[in-house]
Amino acid sequence: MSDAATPNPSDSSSLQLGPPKARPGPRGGPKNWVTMGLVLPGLLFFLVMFVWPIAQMLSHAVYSPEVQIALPRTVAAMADWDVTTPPSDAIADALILDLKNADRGDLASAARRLNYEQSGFRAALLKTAREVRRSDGAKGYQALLDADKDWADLARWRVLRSAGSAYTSYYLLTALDLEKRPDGSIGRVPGDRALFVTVILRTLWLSLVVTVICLFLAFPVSYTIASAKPGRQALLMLLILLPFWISLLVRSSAWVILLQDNGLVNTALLKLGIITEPVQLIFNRTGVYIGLVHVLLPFMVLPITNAMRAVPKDYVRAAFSMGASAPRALFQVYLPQIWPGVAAGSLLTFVICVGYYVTPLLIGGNQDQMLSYFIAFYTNQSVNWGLASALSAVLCAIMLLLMGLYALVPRRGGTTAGR
Amino acid sequence: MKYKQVNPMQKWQRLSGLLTLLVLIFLILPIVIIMPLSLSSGSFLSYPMPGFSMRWYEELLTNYKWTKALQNSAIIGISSAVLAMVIGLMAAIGINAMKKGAARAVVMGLFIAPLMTPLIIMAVSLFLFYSKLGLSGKMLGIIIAHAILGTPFVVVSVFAGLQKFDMTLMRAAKSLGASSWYAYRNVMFPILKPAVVSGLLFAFVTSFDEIIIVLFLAGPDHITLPIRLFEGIRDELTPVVISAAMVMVLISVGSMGLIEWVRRRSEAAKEA
Amino acid sequence: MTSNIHVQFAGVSKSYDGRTLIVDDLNLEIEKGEFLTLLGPSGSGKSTCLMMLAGFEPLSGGDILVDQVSVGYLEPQKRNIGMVFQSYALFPHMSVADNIAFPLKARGRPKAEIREKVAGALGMIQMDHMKDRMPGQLSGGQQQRVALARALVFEPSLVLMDEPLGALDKQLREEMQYEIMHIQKRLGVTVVYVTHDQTEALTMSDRIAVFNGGRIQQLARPEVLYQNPQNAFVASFIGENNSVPGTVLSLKGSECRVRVGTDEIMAHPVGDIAESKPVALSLRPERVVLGSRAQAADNRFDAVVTEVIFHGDHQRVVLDVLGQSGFVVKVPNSAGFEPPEVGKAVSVGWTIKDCHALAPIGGSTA
Repeated sequence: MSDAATPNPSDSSSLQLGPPKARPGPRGGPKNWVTMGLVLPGLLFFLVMFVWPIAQMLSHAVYSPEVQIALPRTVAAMADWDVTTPPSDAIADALILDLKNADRGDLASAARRLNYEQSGFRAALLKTAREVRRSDGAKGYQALLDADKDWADLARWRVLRSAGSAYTSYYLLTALDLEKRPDGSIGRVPGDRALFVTVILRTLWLSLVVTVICLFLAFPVSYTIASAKPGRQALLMLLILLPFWISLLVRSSAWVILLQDNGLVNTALLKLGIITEPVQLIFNRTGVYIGLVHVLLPFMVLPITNAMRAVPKDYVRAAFSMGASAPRALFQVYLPQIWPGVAAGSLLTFVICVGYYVTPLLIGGNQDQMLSYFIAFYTNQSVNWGLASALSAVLCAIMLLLMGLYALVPRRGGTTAGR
Repeated sequence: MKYKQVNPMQKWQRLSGLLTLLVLIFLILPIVIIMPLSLSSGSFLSYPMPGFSMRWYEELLTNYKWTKALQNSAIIGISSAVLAMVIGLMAAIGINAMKKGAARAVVMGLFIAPLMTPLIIMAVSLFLFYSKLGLSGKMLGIIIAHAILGTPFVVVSVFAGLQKFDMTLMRAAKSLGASSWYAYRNVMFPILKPAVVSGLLFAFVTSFDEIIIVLFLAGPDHITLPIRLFEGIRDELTPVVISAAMVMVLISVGSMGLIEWVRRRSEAAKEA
Repeated sequence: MTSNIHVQFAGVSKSYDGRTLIVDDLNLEIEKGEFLTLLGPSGSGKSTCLMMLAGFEPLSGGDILVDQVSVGYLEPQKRNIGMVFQSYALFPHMSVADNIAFPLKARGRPKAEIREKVAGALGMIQMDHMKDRMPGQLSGGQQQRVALARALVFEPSLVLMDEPLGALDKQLREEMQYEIMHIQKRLGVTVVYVTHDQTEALTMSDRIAVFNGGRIQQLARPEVLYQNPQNAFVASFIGENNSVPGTVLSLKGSECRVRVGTDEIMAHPVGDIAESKPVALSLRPERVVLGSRAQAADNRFDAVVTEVIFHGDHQRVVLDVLGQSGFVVKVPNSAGFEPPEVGKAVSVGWTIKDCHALAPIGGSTA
């Protein structure tokens, strides 16, 4: 380092100090270092405990190396199999060797994976493994046929071959009710096996209905809040936000007590003679709509109210003074100004609704479950993580698509929402 | 009366006022209506109640199943909120000091992301991740997950506080001879305290109410209050469930009141 | 040791982007106990200089010495320089007394000393009775006083002030000007003061450095600055000024002949003036006389009155003269003087030494 880099306090003739352009200022280097030191721990924590698990989970939608792990030699031997003729003895020997040597857990995973694509494969593979382990010298294609005669079925070998790749489109296709046909083309699964498109559409429809209901309810509420006196505004806001603070579980139990067949609403209606037998209000779609609107309404009211507050009263007055009719004033003067708030509120409501789980579970019926339910189901009960991941990927894709659309929506002036 | 002025908006204002009232009834009445049932002396959740008693609260506070759940919820809620506060406070100060640009936006987006992530996706991914890590069925796993959920509240709240914070105060402190740390500790932190406290309480309430992650990650010893309520609603809806719900309402609304109080006090100090 | 120099800017330059210089090779010496004002329009580099001296902006080149010791690269908290900010920067969560005690606590002084010095500082600004108030409960002037006390309580020998009176109303500003001056003289501290208000600078300063374009245009005592501006920028920035463009015909000693349109004017050349070069003639409105009083003046011309504005103690007469419009003359409302009527012809005049021939703005300032 040159002398110029260290200012010499005792040198009173330091007038000739060169112009050290690159000398670090008092706020230069160390400050950035401190900044990184503050952000980094949290950043690492989030990357390891939040981003990485989700990325890994989503990767299970296409990454499925179970067969490759359990049966590596077979996968290698089948690489140049021509698909139409029965497999050679070399392939069969590789499979026999793999089955003998495979770890039990790995083999079970591979068997489960193969069974998704062809039912019965799991039992056949495990049975064959037992057989070849018992008879020491078994070799060749015939030995497999002895263990399980269905090895003669070439479709089974084709499944084995395609599942041998570490990457698969199987789960994603399944999540969209599609399948790969034997000829390699992609087509819809037969109607009796189709399940997920209905669920996806149901999720979207339910969220749309809830969003629209919230929008209609939020409008008068936001308008009333925004045009109230400051003191009353605070009170109204507090009341709107009160349910926010009350556990979802508490609210769900309230709806059950109120809406069930012998609940308060039905009892009251019966006593008043309006109905003669209980109406089903819960554990069906009605219940889910009521519950979700109750949960999500504040998310809609907040941004719209903020947007409305930002609109000077004079604008609408000016429109009226210039002779505009009420609808014209509303649509041409008022709505364009609160549009950012409406867009933000609708997006927020829709996005939160799409991913909802607990409320439909507690106060919906079987036909009202959304994507989340099936993700949970395939994780916990059916233990098909690949499919759970593929469904999660679909959910994430829907959300990202919506946020992307929102980013494209033109926003006039400054965003008033969220302030 | 011939010249009675007609405000073209009045009609709409009345209508929207009426609708607002109905919406408020819809939002609040269900919660209010079930509250008294926790004081019922009977075993059924219906009106009219046979009589008043504290028996369900007694059961709540003596039955191990409920006391353990309350204890678990408290431990998880407090630990995760404190963890979220430490991470969020540091992150917010760091982000605020970063240069505006893509890097800052990405980092901010990452810290906000848990707010927009469906809980089921977090729950499932951590479920798979923890099974490899050996964190499944451990309370630490739940605390970490809840800390991630709570961090965005702290980051948003403290960041907003920092945006309002006048950086000349830090310059002033330094010109008066304060070291960086002395200035942080005696100038910036005290002024940011209300923002930190409200972020902390938000994080606590979020953890206290959270169920999906606990549902996936908890071992049998870590049943929390929301899980007990969940089971109660699904299996046997008795007044003890409502009294537990009342305790949750009390704690949540208490926290909200506290946040409001902290906010008002800090505003009053500024304006007085 | 014998040096009376307190602060020295030695070839200081500052650039944010590496290309445009905000401060360009600044050399400035400030004496002990001096009240020096950096005056200039916004963006002239005066505030940047103050911030570099305080330690909040790193230097791009050169060095700053305080008591002949380099501080250019020292952290702000180690410079022992008091500072008063435009926004006062009082800590909103601390009482008046705690604000004033802050620099002493930060230095870890004993409690008894802190108590004593805070009491002394409160007495100096006459705010003992308000020591427990919060800053939010004080008026602008009171906040200003507290900020001043806080910057002085740790007895720095150098105090910086960055437009400290900018947020106050006119009357309070004048009051505070005197108060700051009195305190400064009493304590004998060196003050470096930044403002864009020329009246404030003229009132308070021992010397004024006029900034423009990152350079000092003139460094002088207020009366010198006002009477003898070195160039057209200083002439127009300080006080009111009629500027008339012309060309030098001949130059001889302390007099020069300048052609303006078809007329010739005798003027007092200042600085870098040469024959047949353009100049800006600078005339203070109060140094121009009208009517019969113009008879004895060195320069005398015929003018037409276009506007007369009443200003209480004086009247402003706007004229068309020398082929120019908007030429302003200040006429004191002394007894018996009748201002000219609009539309009438009148003769105007001034002496040679009141008419400065200056290098024009944007001309050869080097």
